[in-house]
Amino acid sequence: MSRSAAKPQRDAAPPSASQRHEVELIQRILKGEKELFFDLISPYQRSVYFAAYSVLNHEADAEEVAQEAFLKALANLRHFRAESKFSTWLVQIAINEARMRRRKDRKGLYESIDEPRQDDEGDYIPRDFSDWREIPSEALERKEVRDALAHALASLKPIYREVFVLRDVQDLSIAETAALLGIEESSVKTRLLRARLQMRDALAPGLGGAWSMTADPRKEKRFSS
Amino acid sequence: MNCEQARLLVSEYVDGEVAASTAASFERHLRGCSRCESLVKGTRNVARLASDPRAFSLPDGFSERLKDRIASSFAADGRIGVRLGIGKAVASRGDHIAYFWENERDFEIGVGFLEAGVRSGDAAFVFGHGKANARVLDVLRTHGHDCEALIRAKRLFVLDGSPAGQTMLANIGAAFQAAMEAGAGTLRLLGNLGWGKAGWPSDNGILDFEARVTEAAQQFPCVIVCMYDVHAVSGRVLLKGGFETHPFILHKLQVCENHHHVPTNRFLADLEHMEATERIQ
Repeated sequence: MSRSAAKPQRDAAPPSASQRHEVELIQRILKGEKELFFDLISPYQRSVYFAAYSVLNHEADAEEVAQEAFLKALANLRHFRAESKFSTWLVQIAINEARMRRRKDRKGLYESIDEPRQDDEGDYIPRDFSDWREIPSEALERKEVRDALAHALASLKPIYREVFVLRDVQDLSIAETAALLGIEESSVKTRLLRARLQMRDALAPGLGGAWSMTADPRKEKRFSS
Repeated sequence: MNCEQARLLVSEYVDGEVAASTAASFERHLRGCSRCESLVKGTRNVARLASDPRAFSLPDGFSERLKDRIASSFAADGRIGVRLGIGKAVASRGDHIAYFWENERDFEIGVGFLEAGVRSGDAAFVFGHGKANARVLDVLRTHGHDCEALIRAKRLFVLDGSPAGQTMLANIGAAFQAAMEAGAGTLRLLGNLGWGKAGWPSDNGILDFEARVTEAAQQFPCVIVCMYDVHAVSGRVLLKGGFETHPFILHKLQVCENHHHVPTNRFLADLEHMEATERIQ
């Protein structure tokens, strides 16, 4: 099934009931019912937090930036135009805030990765397994599996983590991801490939038994190219 | 198709974005290559897991903290506030606030107003007499801020006084403009006025300036906090300057509406009348 094929249809569709509800909430908030703001943003807490996290790779900083992003959205709510998606608008604010934080607070630390070098997007040689032992969705009930995913995500470089979070965690289209990050769609595809392969490699060590619950340590070798 | 070519298509294939003819050739390769087949399975598995809401969840208590933060961000007048970085005090843009201090600790707490701005990307303005400005910068440095770098980045401005109130207003306006052009959203000015100091207006001149600042502040997305050293200034300056020219007072780490505030026009008229009376006497 193609996820991306379904997305343009979704984008072009007339406003859904929830979108109409959103527009109504926004109008009421602008007229003074500010207590409704939390109801408006509540469905997007996760998107905004992980967008910030993808840039900063630090839980506390991401939470603070997410809070700032929501407050900025509230302060600028009158500038929101209904023709764009509210969720996308929020995520864009979060990404901008997070990038600003990264530049300002951690200049020395992050300078070298703020602007990706071309060779960062080069080929990636994945680890070689003769087969992949499926990690079933039910395994996500286990904390160790969620921890392994979080660890794998944290191990990605920012340019790969940003694309992976928007595309795979938040299920945005290639075009939406490219627009939010201000990069070409071809770069989204290249980075996504590398992010997914690295995530796969980072999760693979658990395959010998931890996730699949069968003790079957596999041999590992590298692709020769 | 060899392994190297196949590897580049894995992600797009998983998303169903590979053209039919290429997909057929890719699938033929997979049938004979368990390593590439493993890449496809692993990639598909990773994408599916990541999109499951259980995979990545919010930190515990995130929603409650966000709710609190939103609720505490409304200023007294219901507008979206600026957190001052002093206790949980929140002000609105355009506010002119008096802060009375009497010891080292109070002074440091006051500088927290600028620190919060520096941390959140606002522009910070240190306005006052030389000794006070140096002291503010010392506090910032002690707290780990690179003042020189902030000044170069047009995020921290240091402004001295002048014998003419109008010149001071013009200097502040120009600095505000420069900060906004450099991308600042909110402007925070911390003032330590040079009452009785050389190179500053007379006390009445500073009172006139303070009254006009209340009006001028409304023109910018700024919050202005004036620090009053209760041991150093006269009772008259505290009464006229501290209380009558500031619509708000920062007291016990809260921004309170100041019922002693006198609207600018009336204050200036009173001041003129007072000066005329003093001249006659």
